[in-house]
Amino acid sequence: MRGIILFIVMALHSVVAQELSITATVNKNPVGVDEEFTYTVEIRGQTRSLPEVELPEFQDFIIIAGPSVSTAFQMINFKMSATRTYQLVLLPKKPGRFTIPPAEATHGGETIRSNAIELTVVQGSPRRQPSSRQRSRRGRKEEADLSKSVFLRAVPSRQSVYLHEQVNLVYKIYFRLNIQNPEYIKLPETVGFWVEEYPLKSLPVRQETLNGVPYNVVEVRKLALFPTRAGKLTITPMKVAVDVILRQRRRDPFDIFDNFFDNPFGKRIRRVLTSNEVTIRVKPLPAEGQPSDFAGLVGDFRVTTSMDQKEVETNQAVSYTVKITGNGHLDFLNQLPLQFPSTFEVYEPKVKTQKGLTGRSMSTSKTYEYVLIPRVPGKFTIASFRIPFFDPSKQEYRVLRTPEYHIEVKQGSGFEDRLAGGVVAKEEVKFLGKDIRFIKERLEGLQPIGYRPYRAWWFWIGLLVPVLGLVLAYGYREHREKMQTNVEYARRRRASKQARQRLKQAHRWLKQNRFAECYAEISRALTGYLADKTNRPAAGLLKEEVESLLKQHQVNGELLSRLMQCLDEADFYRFAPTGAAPEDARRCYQTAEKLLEELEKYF
Amino acid sequence: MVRMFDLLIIGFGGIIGTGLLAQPDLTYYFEQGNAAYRQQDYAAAIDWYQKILEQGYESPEVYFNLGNCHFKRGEVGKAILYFEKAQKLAPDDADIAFNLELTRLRIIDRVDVPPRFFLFQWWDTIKYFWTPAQWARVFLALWMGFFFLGVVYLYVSREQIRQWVKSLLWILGMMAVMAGYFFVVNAREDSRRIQAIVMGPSVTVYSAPEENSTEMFIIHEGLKVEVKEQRAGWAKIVLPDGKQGWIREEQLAVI
Repeated sequence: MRGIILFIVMALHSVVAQELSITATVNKNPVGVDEEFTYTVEIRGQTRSLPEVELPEFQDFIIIAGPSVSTAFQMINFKMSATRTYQLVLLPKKPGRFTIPPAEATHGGETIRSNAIELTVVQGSPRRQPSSRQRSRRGRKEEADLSKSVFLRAVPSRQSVYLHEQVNLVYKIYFRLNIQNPEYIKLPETVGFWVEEYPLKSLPVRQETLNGVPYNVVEVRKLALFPTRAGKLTITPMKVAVDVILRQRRRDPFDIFDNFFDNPFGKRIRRVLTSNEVTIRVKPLPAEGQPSDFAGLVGDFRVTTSMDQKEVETNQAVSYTVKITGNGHLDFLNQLPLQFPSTFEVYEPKVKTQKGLTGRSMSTSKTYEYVLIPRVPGKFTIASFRIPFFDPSKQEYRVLRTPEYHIEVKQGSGFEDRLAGGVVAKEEVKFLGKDIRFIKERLEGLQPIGYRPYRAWWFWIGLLVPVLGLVLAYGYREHREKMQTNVEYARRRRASKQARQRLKQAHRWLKQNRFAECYAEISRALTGYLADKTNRPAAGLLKEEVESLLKQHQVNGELLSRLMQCLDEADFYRFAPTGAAPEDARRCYQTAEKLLEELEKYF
Repeated sequence: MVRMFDLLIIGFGGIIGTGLLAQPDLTYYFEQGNAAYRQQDYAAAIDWYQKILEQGYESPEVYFNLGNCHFKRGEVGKAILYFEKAQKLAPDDADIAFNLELTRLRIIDRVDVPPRFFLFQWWDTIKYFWTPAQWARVFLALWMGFFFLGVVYLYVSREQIRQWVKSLLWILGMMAVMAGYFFVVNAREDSRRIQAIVMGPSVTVYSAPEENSTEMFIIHEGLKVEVKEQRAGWAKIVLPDGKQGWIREEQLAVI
């Protein structure tokens, strides 16, 4: 009973008294770019149950191995003390100064952190931290041996190719020591290429002699590259990590511990192999003889076409297949330059691409399957088309040609056939031709540049004339109406016309030498004129009245006296028994004519 | 009034000019151009057609054929310019409308114009049914007809016919007023509104008539814009959707 209590107290004590510490270390600092180093985190405390350590993230490093975890227990002064170690083998990605953030562990609601590590990564081989002279020398010798006996080479099949022509690139590990667990660390950057990777199922080991030295060779990666631009293209090195098994020399065959702790299969070292850089010169395709519809196809190709039916009814689907096979990259080929009759409904083709990577060059095939639905009966032709390509082996352009197909479409009997009768979508109809309408061949609307009719004089005259016309027409109608209804107006308007008629009559009498009638007519013309103008009865117009009337109208005295004189003369001769002299009558007539003219101004 | 007098003078000069200048030359140029076009020698065809324009004459056919030549040469901006010019002279020509629409498919800028209220659309349809010149003629004809009918009305004595003429006068009068209105509106627009086609392949539109002002947006060859203002080699343009800005004048060609 006592013992149990004591145990509990001890256990409690151990919980309370425990003290956790966590530290992080690296085995090298500075370190070279291509050099791996070990990062170690150690957590220790007086407890049996150490918490899990959360390792930091290594953004600037590649984890080659680990983390490997080992735990050790110790009893010191009856106290249990435990140590757990996490080990990682890391490889820097680039030179510079980096900080490895602290590792963390949480225990009893408390977080404890390790130290952060400032690490310098230098270009090339680093200065070695001298820890022990002997070890250093041994290490260097080991390394020199290693790079000669295990290395990675990138071997291009050719140094110089045409644009879009295939070039193969093989990555081989040459080794004289046993290797295990190859792993890609960094893949090459293949800017300017389309890349297809050869599938490598097993890694067969072959024998190869290089500079007189026999090596075991294994191909770890094989790429088919298709350059997409001309010039010098560079492929950056690839990095592969492998375990190298070193055969251990026995330093002391009788040293039991040495023998015991050495791996019976040899010492295992994780190594990073870096390949050489590869430069490929890409020649542009010859401009001479290049067809205008050349789309960039390079290789050696054949084309086959097939059509499943040659005679169909309307609205029945026909399948038209074009298959292009050969060696070379067919991704450069997108749409086929196919023209179908416009009354065919054409769906997007089903495209299947197959790539076979065996042997020296990639064999590809691309199948286009078109589904055509003829909507209108008739005989149609699916035109032949051509696909030009460049054959690098013959160094010339060649052309693939497809045959022409004739297809007969009969009127179908289905409901849809009777209904539709060849209706194509509206937009298609609108621009079916895809070409503009032909020029106009007759010159019709020629006019001076900037000519506007409303800037021409006739336009404005044309506007004005009808207005004037209407005004005139209106005035004339008014006049005509007045002549019929208004006596005074009619007499006034007719006065001069009538006076002139009378004078004409007088002239006639004059010619016939009938002077009395002539004088009477002159008198009547003048008095009648005045009577009409002033709307008085003509018969009763006496001389005195005439005189006062004229004065009312402010006729000047000289004209008045002349008029009176003329009237007097006329009255005199009218009734004179002797008759007048012809000259007098003529003169009187002329005076009357003149008088009438002058009077017009006053009335 | 001075302006009107000027117009009269210009109009008079135009008529005299039409009468005096020899026309057979121009048909010769036109046929030569057509022949070159048929032989697909579009550059030569353009030269022939341009000769007609250099003589100071224009016609929808010449502009249409020029547009075709430029289209065939892949010069979308110029093609649109000449099709627009042709359409301005002959708005109801189906061939011109077709080629213009087809060419417009080739330009880069798609300016979406918000649909207008349908009444305005009808209004515009009537307004642009004829060119200003055609509206002028229609107006003149209606105007003359109205006054002639007015005279008839004055002199017709039979009451029944008078009533007929009177109602006809009303109709004709209304039509003349409307035609007059559309004529005035069209003629005003014709003399004030400047429309232009963008000629540069890609033109930056600035916020002010200066090279170092803010760049607002980019327009491309073939777009139709309205020119609102011109100042020292710069033009203030308005896009169909209302966007505004300044570009260099030489990037534009007025329709």
